[in-house]
Amino acid sequence: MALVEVKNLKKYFDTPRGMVHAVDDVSFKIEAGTTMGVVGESGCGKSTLGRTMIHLIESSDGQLLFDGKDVTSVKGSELRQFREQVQFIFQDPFSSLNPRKTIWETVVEPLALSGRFKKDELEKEANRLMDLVGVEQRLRLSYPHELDGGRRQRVGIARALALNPKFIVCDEPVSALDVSIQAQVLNLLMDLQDEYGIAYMFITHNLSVVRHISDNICVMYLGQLVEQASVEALFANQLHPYTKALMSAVPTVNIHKKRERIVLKGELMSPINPKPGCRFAPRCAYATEACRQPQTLQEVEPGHFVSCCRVKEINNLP
Amino acid sequence: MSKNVKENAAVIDTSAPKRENQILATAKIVLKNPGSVAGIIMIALIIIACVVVPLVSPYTYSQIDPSHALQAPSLAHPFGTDQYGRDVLVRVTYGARYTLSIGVFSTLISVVLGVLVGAIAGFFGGWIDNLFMRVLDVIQAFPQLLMAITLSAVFGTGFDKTIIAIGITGFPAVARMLRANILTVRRQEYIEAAVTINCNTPRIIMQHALPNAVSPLIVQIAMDIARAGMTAAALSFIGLGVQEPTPEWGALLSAGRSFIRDYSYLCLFPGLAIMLTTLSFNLIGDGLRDALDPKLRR
Amino acid sequence: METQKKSFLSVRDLKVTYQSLGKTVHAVNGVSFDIAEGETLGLVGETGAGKTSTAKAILRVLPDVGAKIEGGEVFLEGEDLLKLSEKNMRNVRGNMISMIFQDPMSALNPVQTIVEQVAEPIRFHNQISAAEATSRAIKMLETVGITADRVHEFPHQFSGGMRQRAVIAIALACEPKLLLADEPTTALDVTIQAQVLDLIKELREQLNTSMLLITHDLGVIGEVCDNVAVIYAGQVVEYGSKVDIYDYTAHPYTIGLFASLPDLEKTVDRLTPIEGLPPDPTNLPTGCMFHPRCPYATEECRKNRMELREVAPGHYSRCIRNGKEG
Repeated sequence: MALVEVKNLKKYFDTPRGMVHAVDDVSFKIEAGTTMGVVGESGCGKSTLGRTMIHLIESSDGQLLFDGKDVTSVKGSELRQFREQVQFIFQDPFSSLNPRKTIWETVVEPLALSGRFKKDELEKEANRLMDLVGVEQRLRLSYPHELDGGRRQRVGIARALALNPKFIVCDEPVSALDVSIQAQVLNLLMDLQDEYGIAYMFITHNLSVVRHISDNICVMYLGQLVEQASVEALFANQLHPYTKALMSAVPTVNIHKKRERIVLKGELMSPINPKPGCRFAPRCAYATEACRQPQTLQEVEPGHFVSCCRVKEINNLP
Repeated sequence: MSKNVKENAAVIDTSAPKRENQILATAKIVLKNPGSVAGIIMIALIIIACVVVPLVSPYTYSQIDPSHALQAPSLAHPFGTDQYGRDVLVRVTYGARYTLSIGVFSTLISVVLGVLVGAIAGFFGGWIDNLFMRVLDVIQAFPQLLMAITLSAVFGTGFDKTIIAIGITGFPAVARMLRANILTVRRQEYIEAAVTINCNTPRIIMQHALPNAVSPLIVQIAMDIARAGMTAAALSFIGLGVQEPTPEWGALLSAGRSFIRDYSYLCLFPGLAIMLTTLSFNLIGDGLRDALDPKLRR
Repeated sequence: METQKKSFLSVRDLKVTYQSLGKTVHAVNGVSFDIAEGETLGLVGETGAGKTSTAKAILRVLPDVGAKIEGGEVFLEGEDLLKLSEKNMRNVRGNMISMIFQDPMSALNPVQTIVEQVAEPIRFHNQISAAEATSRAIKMLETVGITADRVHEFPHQFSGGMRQRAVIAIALACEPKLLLADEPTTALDVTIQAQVLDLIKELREQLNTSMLLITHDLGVIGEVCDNVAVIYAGQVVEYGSKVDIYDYTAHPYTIGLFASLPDLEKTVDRLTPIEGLPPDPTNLPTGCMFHPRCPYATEECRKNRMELREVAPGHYSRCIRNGKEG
């Protein structure tokens, strides 16, 4: 049984300019102790999806299952219980910590709120958390602005780990960090997963990072899943035209490999009242009349799902 | 839910170790700012003068002496005398207690009301915000002075009633400013983070939103004290507010106006007192704002 | 650092400091490099390494308060820009050198149409009629891929990629000989970044513009640049051709940077980050700036400042280990 499962999840925002389809009919499962990478460009709804999954934003439609239990519309004490098991790591280590609270206050707050700890235990537990994420004890009375980005992100991770969650949504946790610091934080996240069996949903736009940390990957485009597969399958063979283009556009440090770059025309269309049919079609080199019909995610190879009606022709599949 | 809220709202001591007393730390930084030190010294001098001068002076603020009317500043009357022969120095220093306390107390009312309304409107948004803001619109549709006059007319004259009238007049500005700050703060990720760790709403507002939204208010508050004093003066001038013979600064100023051509010192000294007080509060406000910003702390 | 080709821009021992909260921030501590005509140099480094300060010092647009060019020379075609009068410098900016900033939105004026903003520098530098300037501006915008029917729109009506194209058009309006591009694609999505990088490469060929490309992204550098300077704590620690840097990496910091990167093309079990943090620019370490984080640091590294040494023809590294091992 999957730890987290979403079925046909939708999140629409009603704006003066029309209905924004931020997340539109997304379904997937995350097994305990594994990482689901969610890749997409800005505005594809990946952050909204992550927030919807832990009830930071309420979904418009669809189902959310956690540990086999329907948690789509939990309220009150059930919601509080749910929140003790799921957590969120934010993108911006500068705005995710309250600038007027010391590091210590930030780490201890979730422990205190849970009511699980007596006062002396509280102190011990908070110290343990700070050790765990590698924030030096001497910094406990520092304010966030006195710390570098990497340390701040570690404090955010300590706060998220406080109540031993089973599932953490990581929203671009390393994209604001320099590469050398980014590597330290990625290693920390992976070590924590090994030790505590936490499942991650790892949201990022960085394909190298997602390859490094994920077991499975979802590729999102304008609120919809266009491709989903294991990390090996996806990096070996991208089947959706968008994924192909995305992968080819990443500049790599391999300066000798001549890669066939697919440069897409145009930019993301607006997610406001989108027309039915494939949302990528306006930028897709393979688009035909058939692409104007609504697309469904189909299993093209075992475990490899693609939402494209021309996937077989494009990839010469039987 | 209600049980949880109670547990949660109880002050949870998450701040066990302190690196030093926050108030002390703030005070230290304020004292490093030459401007605010000057402000504090001036206010202190005014307060000391307002206590000491009426005690040691041979005159009282209401003692009429027609034979010495309208005398220029001299050793006997350092600030001169007014048209009834009253000592202006005593009247100005005695008046400080009225102007300052009307300023402070009415600002206190403005801030309490304003923070309450602004925080609730800004944090919850939606119809609550709309309702509150429309009420503020109605209050602010009247010019501030007119509003204060109207309220004074309703409540009646006198020290305490003036305070309430000016306090109510001032709160919409505070509420709007706080609401705007809360709207910005509310979008920060640490507010979301507080939700994920099961903070309840009162705690989020009190612990996470408000402390980050109030510091721009501090300067505003300092200026409000001065502004409230000015409004009190205006009310006294038209016969509302604090009544003669109480030597409120504004009243002194407006009484002196008729003699300004020949006896300008009648306006000069109360005017200087108002200016210095306003300036001092502004300087202190600036220093406080810097001190309250942890980013500027070193 | 003698280059074969005639050096077009030559920066020598540039030093920049800031005053902040009563402390002196040593942002740039003796940066030197050369750019030949038509060449692109990539300046790569982490946050706070002094990349942007270097570019701003070249253009002399450092913020007035507290920022100071402490020393060094910036020769553009043999003339030291740091010695020019402000009036002459104004002529250099936009006309000879222009700059592209990271955030396209804050670089554009929100109340002016795109075409007006492109036409303005053309008019300013060429003393031509408004109509003439506008028609040149429209041509320039078409070159960067903005069609004539959209040039009269305002910045907020443009998407991020379009805005960056507009910023590039403004920068190239007077056909400058040198373009300083500060993280020009960092704020963009990868597919849009690919478009903009292609555009930059294409225009560079067309106009034979020299370019200083500042970025933290080794992938982007590898894509666009001829030569690379790696900057750490306000100093160039490694300098050479792209092949030198990517295939024959010499300096431990550069090696560490590459090891920190997750690879798009193969799975690595564990990343090897550089330990520790970049030095505090108000309190720089003694000896080699990198020694506190360097796995090879010796007693000598702690004591003596390192000079750039030539490890292979045209390939320099600021490290005593050079040439000893691969």
